Amino acid sequence: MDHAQIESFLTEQPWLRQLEAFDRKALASALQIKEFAVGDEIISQGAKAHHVYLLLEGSVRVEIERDGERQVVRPLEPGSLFGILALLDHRPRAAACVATEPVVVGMLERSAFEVLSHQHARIAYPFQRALGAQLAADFRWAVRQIEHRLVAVS
Amino acid sequence: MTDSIDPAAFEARFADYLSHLGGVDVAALASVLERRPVRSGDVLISQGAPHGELLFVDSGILDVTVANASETPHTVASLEAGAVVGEVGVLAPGPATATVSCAGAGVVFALRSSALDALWSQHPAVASSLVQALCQVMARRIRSVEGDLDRLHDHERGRLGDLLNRLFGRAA
Repeated sequence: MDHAQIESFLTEQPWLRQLEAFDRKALASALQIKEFAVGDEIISQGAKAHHVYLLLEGSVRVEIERDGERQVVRPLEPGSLFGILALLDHRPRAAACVATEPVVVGMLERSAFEVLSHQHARIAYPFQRALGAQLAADFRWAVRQIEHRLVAVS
Repeated sequence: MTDSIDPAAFEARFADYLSHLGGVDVAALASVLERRPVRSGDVLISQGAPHGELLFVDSGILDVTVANASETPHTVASLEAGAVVGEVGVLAPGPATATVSCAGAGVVFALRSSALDALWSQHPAVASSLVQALCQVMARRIRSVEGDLDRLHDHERGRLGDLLNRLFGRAA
């Protein structure tokens, strides 16, 4: 994927439609592109966080290990952001993310994310809204898991 | 929207919450809030129903109630002046995870999800700081719930009441 393709991809994302074209271009240029093969672990649970990821192509599965067992959380489709939590709170990665198809991601470094957040509010805001929406979805998912577990043991 | 919210009074009331916003322009934030008198018995957020507002409790008491398939509805928290609820909904409007109702008359200030976008168009730095802070709140909650899931993995049923209270007391 070249930068023109990335810009085109960003243009298609609903959460970035509010951005001007030159702002999308700036965001695209801040992303580092990386490819992963099927089975590659893009993020390892417990690892230190250096990037937040935008899935550009392929499919990724989120997995959490508990007591030695890997639980599949959910699949991610192109346009999904992942690796958010640890980037925000500077704690170890909460889950693993594994490529289930050949994957292309755009990676935004922590330092770039922090510069964006603190110095370029106009561009940062739609990105932060997307992060927030993903976090809210993650929270709702976790609450549903609790509810299902409670029903199961009641 | 209304201009009837006094930014100084708002800042004093929500000083703790606003301290996490990094010196956000309170007047700008107050300008997009909706002042809403509430009466005892009013249901502000209904579990399972679409919800998309952040509520700042200026006065009165709000009860947070949770019902699930295995338990009768029960109150897990009472929110008083200075409390804020609804971070999940304002970030991503959708089904509420708890019911929030008024146990005593008062006033809330509501920030609609759409008002965040209006704030961004006029005060991008304020909107960005606020969303960043809300994301931090959500990150803490997700870590906490993930911890609850870990504990639930091994918990016996007798200890689930405490877990419910800790979880849903901050879930709306």
